[in-house]
Amino acid sequence: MSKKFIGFVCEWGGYTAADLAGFRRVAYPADLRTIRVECTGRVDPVWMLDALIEGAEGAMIIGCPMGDSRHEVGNFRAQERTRWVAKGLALVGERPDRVRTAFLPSEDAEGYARTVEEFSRLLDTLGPLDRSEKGVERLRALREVFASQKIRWLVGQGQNIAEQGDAFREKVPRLELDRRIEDVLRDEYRRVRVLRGLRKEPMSVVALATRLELPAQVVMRDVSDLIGIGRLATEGHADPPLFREVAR
Amino acid sequence: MNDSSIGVPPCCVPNLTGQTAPEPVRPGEEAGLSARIGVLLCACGPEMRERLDFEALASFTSSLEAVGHVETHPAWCLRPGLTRLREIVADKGIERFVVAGCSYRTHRQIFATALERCGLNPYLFEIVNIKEQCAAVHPEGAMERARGQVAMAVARAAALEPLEQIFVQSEPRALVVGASLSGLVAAETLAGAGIETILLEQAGSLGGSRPGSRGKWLGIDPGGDVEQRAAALRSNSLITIHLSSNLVRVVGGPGQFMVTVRTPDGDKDLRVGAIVLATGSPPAPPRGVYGHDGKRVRTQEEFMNLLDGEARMAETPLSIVMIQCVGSRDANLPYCSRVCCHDAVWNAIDARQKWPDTQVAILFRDLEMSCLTERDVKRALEAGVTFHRYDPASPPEIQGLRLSVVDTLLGRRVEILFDLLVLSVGRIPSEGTAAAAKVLKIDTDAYGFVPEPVVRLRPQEYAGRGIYVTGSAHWPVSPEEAAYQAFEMASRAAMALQRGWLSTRPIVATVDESRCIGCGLCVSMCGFGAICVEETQKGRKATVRSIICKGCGTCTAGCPVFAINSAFYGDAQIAPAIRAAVTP
Repeated sequence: MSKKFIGFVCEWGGYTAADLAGFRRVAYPADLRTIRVECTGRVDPVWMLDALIEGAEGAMIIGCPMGDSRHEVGNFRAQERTRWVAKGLALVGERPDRVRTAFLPSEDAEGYARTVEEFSRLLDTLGPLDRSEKGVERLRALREVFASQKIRWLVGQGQNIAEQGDAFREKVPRLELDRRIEDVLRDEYRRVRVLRGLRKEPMSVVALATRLELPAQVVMRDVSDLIGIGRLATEGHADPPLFREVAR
Repeated sequence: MNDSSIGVPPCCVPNLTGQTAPEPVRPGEEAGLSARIGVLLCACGPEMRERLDFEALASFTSSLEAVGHVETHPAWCLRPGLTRLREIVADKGIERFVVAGCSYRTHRQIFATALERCGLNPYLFEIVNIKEQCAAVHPEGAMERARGQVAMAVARAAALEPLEQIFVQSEPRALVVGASLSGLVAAETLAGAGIETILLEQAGSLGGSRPGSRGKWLGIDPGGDVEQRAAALRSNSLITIHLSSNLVRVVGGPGQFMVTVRTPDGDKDLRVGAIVLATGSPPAPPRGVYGHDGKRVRTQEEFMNLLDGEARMAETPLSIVMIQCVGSRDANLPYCSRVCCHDAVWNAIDARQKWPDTQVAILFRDLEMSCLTERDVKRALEAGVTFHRYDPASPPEIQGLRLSVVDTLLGRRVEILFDLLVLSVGRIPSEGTAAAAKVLKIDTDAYGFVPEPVVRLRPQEYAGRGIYVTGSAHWPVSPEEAAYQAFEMASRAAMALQRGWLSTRPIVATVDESRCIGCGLCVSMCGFGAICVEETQKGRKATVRSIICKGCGTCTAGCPVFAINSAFYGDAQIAPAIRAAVTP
């Protein structure tokens, strides 16, 4: 069984280029599975992670060139969202280039075939994703992070601030902004792992820290933060105390 | 595709609220029958038969969940295939279909129409391309991929929901902003189509800025006499003219704009179905360059007055020098205004004809003569006009009545004595354009013109539907172009207004108000201005104007709380496809 990867193609760019590649008989690897969307802007970061979790080795977005999209801004958003998913993958210890974007004109059939082939070859070199229980759990945690209100808001608003400036119309340097969002992403990922760890069974901080392979002090701080916002509660009166996630 | 009126019976406009019509309940839907999917495998083309084993594909497909019927045919899209499709619908009662064959882009419409004729919803249907995107490009592994893509399409089709075309009622009234030549032509065209038209002008008179010459780009007189035209408009009972008036507020959307107009008699509220923006572009103010005084140093427009005999000089000029690109194509106005070279050449010819003893010289950087006007350069040379090319790094210098310039064609300095200097100053977007664009919430480019968003894909169409931009509000154009554009845009507006309704396909975003937190992130993400956040009884909630929405889903994928859904491409439809893609 060969590997598979998902290509999200927009109807006007990627899909059209793929049609043209067919007319011109430009061959490319068959391990691609395409999903047609109206615009690459529709591709949810969560979808890309879903693809990896479900069994794909990679996910790519193929859309129209920047500034030449039928939907004005969709591809800019897709690029930014993919950038953050890639950063997220690095955070869980996976290669960030398992997700990527390619923006090419609809008449570039050869470009389409080349893009798919390059990605396929890259995934071959990277080898299969870590599909151990631990590896998949990390991806699932990352998916939860990208489904969280906080990160989705930050990714969207971060791009607004980088491109149009903040409330005072002052442009924030991209690098600085990225660093801030990365900090939040890292914290959020750790907290989601803590939450997920305490979802099924109540546990003490030390036991959880051992399971998550994190320092106990760090987990302790997250646990107290999460208690503060009502996401965690103590369970019973054991010593050391046990914590569990508050069902929402 | 976007505005294709799939199955719109013009006689019956079902639901005019701007929302998707209620989903019709079909018999058997509750029983889960409609979830049964018919898969039509299409075996046309040599590679398809060579690289795909249709028997194996058919048996694989029948094993998929929810598949009720699988059939292979050499060409489903041709008459015998479509007839067979009708039989399947009648015999098996199947209402959802997947066609595995050609491209969604080329063949969707054929099957959508056929399904509609059978009384089925055309959105309970998916095409998977196993030809161009599979058999044709995979010498190896085509079968594997075809199987995967068909499984994905089936999973997606099972989750599709019936959708109905969206209709919005349209006010039978139009507003034309700006009484430039294009504004006058637009108002005249609209009124000619029997549509009540309101013409709004910032200045106190009709006609806008006058053209810089009497020349004709295409050899046709487009506008006729502006005065005559204006008089005809004033006496037209369908046209209301508001002079010295401004557009101050626009709410609502295409078909139903609620507009507030500030006139000398106070504010007036109007309801219009379409807005034509015809604000024009006046010449840039010369700001005293080359000692501009409007007498001895004039702009082309002021020189026109002399040629027409409206203004007089004490003596006939003996030597006229025209300088092109003055204060234009530099750091201030980095673009070419297109019309000034034509104006200069034609005015030079006219001047030679009016005053045969007068020398005329044109100092240019690049002579940009478009359309058929290239030949007028030759006419000008024959009429005795001299041309000198100058380098913007060393522009012409004047001292008293002596002009000195390095002619880059001759490669030496040329000195000319003149008694009349004419400047071509370029054109700038009018203040009215900026004001109207702000009120209408449409984007202007770096210079202040209103461009087409994607000229290659949607020429003459603007981000906001129901708003039509024409003439020099868009880019400096000649009077003829302005008139033609105005005619085209007004005709487009008139089509929708005469019909009384607008329609769009139902692939649009919808907001789940119970989830929406009113954060407004979607508003900043929409490239079409289709979303706004409004105060409701339940707090701030986003609303999508379906008639503007193009269904790209950028807002959906960015919503922090998953409160937006994109019809046809929702999470409900894509998630099963992702799962099916990787199922071995």
